[in-house]
Amino acid sequence: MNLAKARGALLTFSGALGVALVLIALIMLSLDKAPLAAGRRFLDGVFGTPSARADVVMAALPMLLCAAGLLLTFTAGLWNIGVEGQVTMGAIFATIIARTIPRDVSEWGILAALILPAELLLAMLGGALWAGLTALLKLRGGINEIFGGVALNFISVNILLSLVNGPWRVGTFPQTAPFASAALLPRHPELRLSPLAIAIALIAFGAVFMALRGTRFGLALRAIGRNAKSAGILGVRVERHILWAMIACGALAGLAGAFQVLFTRGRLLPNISGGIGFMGVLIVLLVGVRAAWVLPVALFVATVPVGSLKLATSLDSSVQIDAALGNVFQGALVLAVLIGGGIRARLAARRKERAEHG
Amino acid sequence: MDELLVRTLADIVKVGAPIVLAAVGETLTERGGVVNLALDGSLVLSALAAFVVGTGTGSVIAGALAGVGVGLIIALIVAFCSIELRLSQVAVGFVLTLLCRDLALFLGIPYRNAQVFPTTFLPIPVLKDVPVIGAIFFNQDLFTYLSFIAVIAAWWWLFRTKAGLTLRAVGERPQAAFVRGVNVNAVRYLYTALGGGLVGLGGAAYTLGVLPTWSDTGIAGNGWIALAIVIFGGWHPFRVALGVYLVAGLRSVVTSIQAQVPPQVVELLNALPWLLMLLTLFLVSGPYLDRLLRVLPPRLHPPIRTLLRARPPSALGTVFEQEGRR
Amino acid sequence: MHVELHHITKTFGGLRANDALSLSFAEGRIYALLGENGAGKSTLMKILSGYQPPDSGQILIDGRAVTFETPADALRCGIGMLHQDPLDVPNLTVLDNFMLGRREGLLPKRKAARAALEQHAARLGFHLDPFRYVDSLTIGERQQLEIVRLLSLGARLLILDEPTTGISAEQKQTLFSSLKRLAAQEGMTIILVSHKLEDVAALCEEVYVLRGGKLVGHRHMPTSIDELVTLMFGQSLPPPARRQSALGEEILRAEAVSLTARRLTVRDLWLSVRRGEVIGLAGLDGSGQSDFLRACAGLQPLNGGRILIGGIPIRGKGYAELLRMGVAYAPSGRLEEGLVDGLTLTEHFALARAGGAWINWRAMTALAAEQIGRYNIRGMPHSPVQTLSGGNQQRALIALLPENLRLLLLEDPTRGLDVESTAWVWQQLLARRDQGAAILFTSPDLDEIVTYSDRVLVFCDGRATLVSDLAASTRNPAEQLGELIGGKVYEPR
Repeated sequence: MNLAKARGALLTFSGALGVALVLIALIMLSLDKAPLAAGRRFLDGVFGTPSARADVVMAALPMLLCAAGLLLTFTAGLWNIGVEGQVTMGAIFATIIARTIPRDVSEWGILAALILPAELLLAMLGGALWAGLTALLKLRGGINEIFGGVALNFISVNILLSLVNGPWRVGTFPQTAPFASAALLPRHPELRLSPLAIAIALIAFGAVFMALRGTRFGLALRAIGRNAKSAGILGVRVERHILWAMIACGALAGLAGAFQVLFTRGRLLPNISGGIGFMGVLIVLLVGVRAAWVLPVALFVATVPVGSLKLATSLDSSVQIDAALGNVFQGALVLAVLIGGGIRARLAARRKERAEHG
Repeated sequence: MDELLVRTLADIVKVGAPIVLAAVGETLTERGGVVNLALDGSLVLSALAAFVVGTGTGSVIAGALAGVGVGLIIALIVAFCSIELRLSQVAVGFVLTLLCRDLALFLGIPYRNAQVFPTTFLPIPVLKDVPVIGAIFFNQDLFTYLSFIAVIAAWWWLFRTKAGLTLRAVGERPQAAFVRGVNVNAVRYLYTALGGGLVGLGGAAYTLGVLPTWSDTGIAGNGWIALAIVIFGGWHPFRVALGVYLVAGLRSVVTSIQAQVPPQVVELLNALPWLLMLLTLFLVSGPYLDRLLRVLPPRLHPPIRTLLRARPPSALGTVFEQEGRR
Repeated sequence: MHVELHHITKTFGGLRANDALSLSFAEGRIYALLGENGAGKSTLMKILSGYQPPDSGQILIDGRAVTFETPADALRCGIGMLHQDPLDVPNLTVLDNFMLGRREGLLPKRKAARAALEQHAARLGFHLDPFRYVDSLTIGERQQLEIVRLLSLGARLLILDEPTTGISAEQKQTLFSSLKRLAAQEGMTIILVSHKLEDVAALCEEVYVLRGGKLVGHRHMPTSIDELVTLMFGQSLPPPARRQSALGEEILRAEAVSLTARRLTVRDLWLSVRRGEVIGLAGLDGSGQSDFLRACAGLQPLNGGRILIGGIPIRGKGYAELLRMGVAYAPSGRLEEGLVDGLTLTEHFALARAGGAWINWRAMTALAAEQIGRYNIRGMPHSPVQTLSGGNQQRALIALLPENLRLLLLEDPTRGLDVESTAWVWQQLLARRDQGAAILFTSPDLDEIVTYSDRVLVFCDGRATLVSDLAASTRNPAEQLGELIGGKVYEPR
């Protein structure tokens, strides 16, 4: 039964992937580009070299963190669209410490070892704060988390722009100075890779996975997601669980924001999130809130921005195409998966009905 | 009256027109029980379509129709996925909004700030000479007039016609409408398409009226404002329009003092419309109003509900299924 | 209008809900369609009113065969149905509801519609304010509106599905007398769908009895209740025995409680309940009984006064906390507000039982299996609850109630259940009482309240009066309660 379900899901996914690829190919053809050559270039750009593979892995980490957090909120039936703002707040909060770290911390001794944990914890606090605010607006003010989240997303961007245009601005562009290496996530000597970041992301994902599988908290979230009233009558503290699910998701999103400033960018600048929060939402929608699939799908989704960037910077004009097309591909893929799943469910329902009446 | 004030008000009405069109469209859609969460992306993509066709043909009508067409198709996708495939309207709408926005940003690259579309400025004779009122309301472009018409027509349709009563019943309790002979899903398709068309018109109003050019910024985000204003407006066209003008007014105040304050303050001031949104939603959706209603005599309920309450149509976002057949 | 049903058959997934049913309804007569839950009454009436097509069989009106695509088709042919939960639009006014679905042009004729509404209401002896919002009406008033609407649209045959659930004795009187008048004076055909024998005896002239999808009897009233019960169940049921258990210490205390109900404010409510007691809460629908229950469960704030459980004030405590103190609340919409669609029985037990952060799935599966055996639930530990039948979901709910309860708050615990299931539910509840739980319950059924309560709290006009000598009463206790609910002042003997 479960095997059949998995096969069906895989079939839907492959079909949707085909549809999305055809769509992208048609767009490319209409712009006089060569889809097949672009495809080869894309694959080469994400798998061809160790450094390309490292880029994909590092791009996947913040998305994995967001998706892990969103597994909690989606399980509880919450549309935490505010995850983007939570990433941004995480980046801002990490910067509070990171921008003050001097180039030379050799005299700090043991304190130097505390820089990174402090930055990451503060980033988690920032994300959690923003998510908690969304939850409070929902629980106390009756504001749907989608609207609270969207509003707080925009407000977080305004705060970010205000900081990089004002007090934190260094130089001609609206951005901070590059952070000192002591403030950054430690980097692999040769590749653009941070083993520590990978470990943190995997541990965080594992914790969410276990929480959903074997804890009362996870079970309670499932109950709330399906029927909050019944869950309350069974003794679940619904509001408290909603608050904590949001806070946990916000903390993980904040961590993702910290990864953006402390590794990917190395400084705070506008659009620091780069849409990774929304990509987290797309990942969770792609896997239908099934936790076990999140890891491979996050890696798959991460190839898109990495590969698109390679295409965009290509000198060969027959494959050179703006990276925005990658976003179109992702959206089309998720929509196709949703629609494919819907069609499959309808067909199954119709078959069942016919079997009953036949 | 102060000439500057009149000019500011006229500007608010003009700048607000696209959001009014989109929000009124969404009001009609949601009154039937469907949430078109793709609104923001739909607004951007239809704005691009309107601009491309408008500049290509040189006709504002053709451009507007292109915008309407795009908005309508996107809305129909949402309706189809909800009604035929029983998918979550929120999921489909959210993915579509990202997809449409990204598609517009990608396809719009060659058109970025390429040219300016000549606005169709249409002062209405006689009426434009009425003091104050004339200058604010009757010395405008095509889309601004359309936004006025949309508000009044939507109100009249919703609350004064049989079809409007049917629409409200479908959004409140589709089962009850069904036993009274209403084809619930047909009504939902119809008003989702109509609402989507108005969103598309709103998109056209940006690139052919307010801006009037294609740019990456300045449109995206306003769809979310429109969605929030529908709630603030309690699904009532007049209140929705009022909400839009409040936000537009706040923005115009920020713009007018922009030159006098440092950039970091300007960025913070730009967050004000969102803060206002949260504050007002907090007031109209929270439990506070219901608590007040409970102590007032029932006779007073209708006017207070109309003015202040923001209770969504009960069947909003749900699928209607007739039991026993499919 | 003479309506005949001819060999109507309808199956759902292999189950024959209606098995070649043939019934006939003559003009101007009042029929009862009697049967326990699952006997096929609702399916048959849904077919007759155009909700569902039959798999086979015919509907004949005055000898002509008709088919209905929708309920609106059926109404055009003169068949109207009043649903148990009236199918109206709560957020619209009475007049809007009345106009909805009338065939007119684009612009509604409000004046004419209002005149028609008032004329039809007056004819039936109903009073309906056209400008009230429907959600501020009682169920009884909403039924009246639906009846008026159906008649104005030309219904000649009226189906009433369990109309007396949730309305007061007084409203029932009004309803029954206008139905009788409609049948006698205007030749209307009435079908009452019910499992309440006293309603059938009070209203109907002929009775069709269904069991297991088949027609098992057709009687002319008066027929003895015993005979009807035998037809419904295949055997007579003995009346439930009343047991006396020793009272324990005080568990619930309400002091000068004031709270807001849907229609009015209840003031100055005092009550003291001891363990082992059963207190029935009676009153018109929406008079504050349910609100008081919810307040005791910490689910609704008080305007004034205080409630103590085991001597501890509950102000500021949520339901989850009270649950830990041995208080359980069960709302009337049990299947919507008690079980979680998509979760298995094991998962329900894991949720309902206190424990650490980690769940021991093996122990929980064992617990579920044990409870399944004990409460005779037809299902497996890994069965998702929505796959259980209604009766088994009911059993699961009772099995899920925590052990060692001190106070059990039940909103209409037997709503929609037939006599047999009702007896089973009360047997379980009384077992809880015997273990030392106090029970507070609401019910629109005064006989149920009289049968099981030690004392009754009557809610009327914002007052709550405690009646403690029902058993000693020489008169019919249900009748006495009905008078109190209707506003008669209580004089203790």
